[in-house]
Amino acid sequence: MTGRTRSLRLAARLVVAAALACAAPRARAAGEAPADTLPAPDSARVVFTTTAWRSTPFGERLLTDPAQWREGVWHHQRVQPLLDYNRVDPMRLGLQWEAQASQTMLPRLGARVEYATGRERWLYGVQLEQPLLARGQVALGVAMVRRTDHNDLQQVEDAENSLALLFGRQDYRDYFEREGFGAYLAWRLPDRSIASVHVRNDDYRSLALWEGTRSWMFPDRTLRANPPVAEGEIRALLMRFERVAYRTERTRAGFYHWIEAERAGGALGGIARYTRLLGDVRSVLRLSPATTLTLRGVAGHTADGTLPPQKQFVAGGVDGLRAHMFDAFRGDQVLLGQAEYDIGLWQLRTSAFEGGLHALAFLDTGRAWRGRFDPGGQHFAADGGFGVGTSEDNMRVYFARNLQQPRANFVVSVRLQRPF
Amino acid sequence: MNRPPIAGRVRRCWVEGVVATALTLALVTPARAIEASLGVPYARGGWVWADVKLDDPIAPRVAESLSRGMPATLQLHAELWRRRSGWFDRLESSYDAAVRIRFEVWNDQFRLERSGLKEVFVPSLDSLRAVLSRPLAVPVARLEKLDADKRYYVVATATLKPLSVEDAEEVEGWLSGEVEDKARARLGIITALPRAVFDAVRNFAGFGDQKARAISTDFDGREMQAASR
Repeated sequence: MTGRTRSLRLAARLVVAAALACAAPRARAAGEAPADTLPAPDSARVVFTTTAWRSTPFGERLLTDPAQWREGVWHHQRVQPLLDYNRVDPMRLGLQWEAQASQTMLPRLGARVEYATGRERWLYGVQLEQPLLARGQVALGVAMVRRTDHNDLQQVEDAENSLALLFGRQDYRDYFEREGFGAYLAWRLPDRSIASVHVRNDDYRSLALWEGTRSWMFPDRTLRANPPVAEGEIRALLMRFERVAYRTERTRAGFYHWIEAERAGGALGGIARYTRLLGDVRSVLRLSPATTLTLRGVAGHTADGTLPPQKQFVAGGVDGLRAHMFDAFRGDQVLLGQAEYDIGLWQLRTSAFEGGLHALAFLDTGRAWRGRFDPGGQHFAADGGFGVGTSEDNMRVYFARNLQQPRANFVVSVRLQRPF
Repeated sequence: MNRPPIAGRVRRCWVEGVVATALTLALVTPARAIEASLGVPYARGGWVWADVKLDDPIAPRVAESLSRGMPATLQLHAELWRRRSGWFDRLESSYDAAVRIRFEVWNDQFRLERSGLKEVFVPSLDSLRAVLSRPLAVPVARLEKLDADKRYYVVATATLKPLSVEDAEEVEGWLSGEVEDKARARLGIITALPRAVFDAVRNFAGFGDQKARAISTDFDGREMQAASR
């Protein structure tokens, strides 16, 4: 270890230790003999476990899933800073506030305010959901947003995308501005799904590449232009089934899904008329104490009309076909299947990888295309490869290869979490 | 221009990837960690129990940070698996529990908080080691859930977290002066970090988790049910 590394590590330890030493408790209770038997699960409520939650990245994301909120550490309210670096804003700073009281009839409220520094634009979002029946099984909600948005199949999170842009000069998303409002009625089926009907009116605007976007590494790389979208109002009626949040621990077979049918235009008016169906289902299966199989299936179909660019289906890149270019396929129909097999190498434990390294093998196949929905007539791309991860849902390096090209090279990608 | 993710042109990526992986593997040296062992599972009160025993649960690094008043969390995760021939085993049920340990500097005592149980106070690190080294009975499944004709085993994982996200959030709350008022909102900067970033910084600072895992011997569903009668 170099002297500088040692100093940095020592400094980091000192800062963390000093801060934590200040956080000593203030209560005291009488001493008691230790008990060796843990309570049976019926009476146990695990409050200290650090459970990692994953969510399928769809929707406004102004309100946390109630199940996740119940097990979180946020009590009734929370405020989070927002920071995103992309190639159109380019820096977006803001705050997100949320208030929930689980299992009550009190409304759930989420709000967000952001400022895009480069294009000098204030962005906001407000969502209010009022339970109509006990335990929030049926709820009525309204939402109003103005945000820098992106295609819903470009699923790299803000933080990861920002780091990729800073350190790799890569932006995994195409952006547009969406400003609109809507209302919905949701029916919550515990541990199964949330069925909801939405009516929305959104105004879409194109955003241009911010020429001054800087990166700390690879400054010579050319950033992709940000493609234009169909500008104007889209009025739509949507029906949605969603189960968006799930725990990474104690997972087993079971689907987590986002299924949406959207009908725009026609009697509703607006610039576009289409009927779009999108389903994204995922499952995590524990196959043995050390192995996990993660599956994802995506199907998209345009039953009627023409999709505007911002609503088209895309496939390719780090969150889809990992050996293909970003958005290698685009169209109004899509099929995508992904499988990832994770083997925990318990013996390879270090202070950095406390649970041992994880060996990964994966297979992605799919395609987006234009025209009618005829999977039998399509030539599906297939990518496969392997990787190494620091834990089951943490930093990982993938080596992906196009399996249909005999001499294809490997494409390396680094992710901060499981891609799906 | 479109470009493959992160690493530009593939040939150069391949070299970068190999270097990254080699560096990663170079870091793989045996870690000093707690050790766990599992006794033979047994039946009691309608449940299948397993005794988890930890050896050397408080490493010197953790002892040092505990003595400075920094909390630590011991997590136990136990799973009951059913053997299947010709196919992967099946996860039948799981159990989670946690013990939070902290040193109260004003009275020189270590406090152990356990969900569903009363707090425990011990006067020294040796006492703390002794308490945590005693077998801990963990309920893994209801007896009635066992299939008489099947074979099962228990896997237990113990994780000692010198710094958890909850601890970090508590520090944030303390620094903002709002730790006592849990109904008020406070700015959760650390908890807003990507988990990988939080873990990387924590590990780099030497506050990474220590994990131990143990697997029990197989047992028969019928024998277990018979033993309970």
